[in-house]
Amino acid sequence: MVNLTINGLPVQFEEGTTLLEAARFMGFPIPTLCYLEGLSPYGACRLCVVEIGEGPQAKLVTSCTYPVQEGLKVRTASSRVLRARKMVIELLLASCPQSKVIQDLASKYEVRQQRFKQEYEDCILCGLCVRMCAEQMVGKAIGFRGRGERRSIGTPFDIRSKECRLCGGCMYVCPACQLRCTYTEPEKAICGGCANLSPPCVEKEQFDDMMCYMDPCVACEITK
Amino acid sequence: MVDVAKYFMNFLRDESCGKCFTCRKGTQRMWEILDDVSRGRGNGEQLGLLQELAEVVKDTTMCGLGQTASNPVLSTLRYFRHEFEEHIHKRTCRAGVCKELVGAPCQTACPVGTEAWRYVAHIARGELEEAYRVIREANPFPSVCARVCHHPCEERCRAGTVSGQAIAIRALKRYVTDRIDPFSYKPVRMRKVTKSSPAVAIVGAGPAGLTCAHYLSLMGYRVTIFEAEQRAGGMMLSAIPAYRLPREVLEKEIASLLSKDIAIKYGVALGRDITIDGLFRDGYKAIFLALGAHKSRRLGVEGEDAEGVFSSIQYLRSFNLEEKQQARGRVGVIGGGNSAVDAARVALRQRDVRSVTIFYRRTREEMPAFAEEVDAAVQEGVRLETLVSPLQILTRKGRVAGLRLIRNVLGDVDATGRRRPVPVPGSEYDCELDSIIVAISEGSDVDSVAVASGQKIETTPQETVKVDPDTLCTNVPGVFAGGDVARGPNTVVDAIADGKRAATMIDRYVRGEQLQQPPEVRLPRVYVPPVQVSEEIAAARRVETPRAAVEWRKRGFAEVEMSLTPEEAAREASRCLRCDLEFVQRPEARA
Repeated sequence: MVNLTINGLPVQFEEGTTLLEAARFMGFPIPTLCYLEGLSPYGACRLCVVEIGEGPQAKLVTSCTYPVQEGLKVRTASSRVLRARKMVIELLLASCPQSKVIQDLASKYEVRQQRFKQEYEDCILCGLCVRMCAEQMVGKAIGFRGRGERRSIGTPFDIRSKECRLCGGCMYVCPACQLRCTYTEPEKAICGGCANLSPPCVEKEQFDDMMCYMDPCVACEITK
Repeated sequence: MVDVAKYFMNFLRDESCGKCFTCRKGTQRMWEILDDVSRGRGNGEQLGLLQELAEVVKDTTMCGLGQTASNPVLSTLRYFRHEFEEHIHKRTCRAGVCKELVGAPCQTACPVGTEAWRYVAHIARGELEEAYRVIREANPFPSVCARVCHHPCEERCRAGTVSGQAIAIRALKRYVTDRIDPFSYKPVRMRKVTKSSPAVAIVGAGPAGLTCAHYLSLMGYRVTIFEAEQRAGGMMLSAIPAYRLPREVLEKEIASLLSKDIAIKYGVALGRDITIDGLFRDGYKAIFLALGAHKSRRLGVEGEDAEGVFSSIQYLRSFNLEEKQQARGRVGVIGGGNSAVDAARVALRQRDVRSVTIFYRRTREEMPAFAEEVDAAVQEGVRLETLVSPLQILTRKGRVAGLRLIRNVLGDVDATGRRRPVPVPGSEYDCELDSIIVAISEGSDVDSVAVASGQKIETTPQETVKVDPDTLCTNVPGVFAGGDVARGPNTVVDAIADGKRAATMIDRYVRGEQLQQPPEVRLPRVYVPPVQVSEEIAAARRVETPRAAVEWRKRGFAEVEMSLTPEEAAREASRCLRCDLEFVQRPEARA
């Protein structure tokens, strides 16, 4: 067992527990985006940062990847953490304002302004779909490509991978495209096949930037 | 510095692996903001956002790349924040690298905004009248500036930054102004002057005062200039020697600016004959102070009041205005600025002078005088004694006998960016001299200004009148100041720029408009078709300005620099890289 303090509270956890799990177990809320129980932690969204250490050694680390350590002092809601978190949410909001998940985060953490140039990205590269495909579906059909600005997710050479079984797991976990796929009114849904598996069978041409790796669509069988 | 930060961000947004969201998106967003700032589209709030974002990126990323990615932004923001603010609020890039703010560097570098690229292009095409019109529209003293301007345009010229062979812009201007009569240009009158036009008083008929008077009269004001001397020209006349600026050229140019709407009252000095309150009482709506800096600083050593010690301003003035030849025998000049070099070269041309030595406390590289002037002085036989400081002026029966000096070494860099001279103990030595000219900076007679007003006009410890650099306002409403009296000793073209700005500001003031207006970037707008350039011309070196032979020029005050030949001028002008073409469209392409 490892002894540490979280927000001043002395706690004991088994070795190998992550700070995120420990804090959540103690009831301290930490927002996450790229974390999903059952998938290996990835540490990409930087939302779950917590402050560890003291004085000049204090630093921010992602709680989802950081294991508990003997004597560690963790602060999950220090001003430094909150400031960083707000900025991350603001950046997310600027990139992907249409995502319900991100909107909820913004309202919960009181991000009231968005000062960057508005973009409407389809993907925030949280990597949930990649891990879902590889770890839960044992498909490894999609992965990351490129770096920096040009990093994206897709199949090799952008052709349908033989490994893809059109299971729809990637769409299911995606925080960015949820709203796109189901929309607020199911009738107006772009496709929705991934979420409710009931094909609205819309005209495909209208939705040229459809967020779907499944080709053809598993539900409506329309080819992109 | 904005460009440096932007360059790093551009590199980093490609180099970031992209896993950590803050590193990938943060570097992109920082680049976006820097890009906005460098294009003059930034606003003040963006700087705060940039800082905040940079700190969060540094804090929340996993690896060293992300944690150090913000450093270029954070350190430039910390140490060069004023540069960012200049980009945003003044829309200028002092380094001359942000393309959208600079346009053609020669034009942006020019204090009066002369479209140098445009007249150079006209010269290449052989259109001299056009070229003159372009020069004269921006600058009422083209012939003067063609000779004495310190040509910041050439410093910034891309041909120079690329290959070290900047276009000889000043020599080209000289080529044009030598061939076109200043009276041939008819400036555009915006408003007619009538009896009821508002009156403006200008104190000082130097470059700033005359420029201001000229533009104000074009804008429909009745202008009166009060000049303490008996002739107009200010420092251009009393300090700049005739071998650099022939008097007939100066007089002709001044005459071309004056009109019946401009009255000059000679022999009237502020503080002595007129006061600021008195001028307002006489009905002048606004006053422009352009007194110049005619008060030499004192050396502060023993023996300074001995016979045979002159201040450079007094020395040059008495020669240029009264033709007195004060120096004789072995002459020492103390100082390293332009007035020191001018005084030395004037002394060299005087009858009773045997030798001239300039004493300067740093090395030749640190001399504030223009390098070409120093070179010319050395060619003519002026001796240069560097790394020495005067300790005492030695006297015999109340007359100068020599100078006691101490040798220096260069120490640490001081606030001016130059290395501070540090005296070497025990290295004192004496030097026999018959005349000494002290040329260590000038101040203005600010006391006369302060006294001459009921409401005290604020001055600075540097003996200048305190003004808002953007609007040239003093603390007293309606009183403006520009030129050396506001800036301290400075160049002719800066004084002209002040005069021009003062005219605009006074016009706004009298009409009750807002003085400060949003800055505007002057990008090239006019399309001048380029000429065919042969490879030979493209590879040619910068033209050497022809100078009179040393032996001949030492004998008198005839002009030293000569005009280019038409072939030389056309060839030099064709070398221009035409930075303007990037910003203008051909007329047919626009349709």
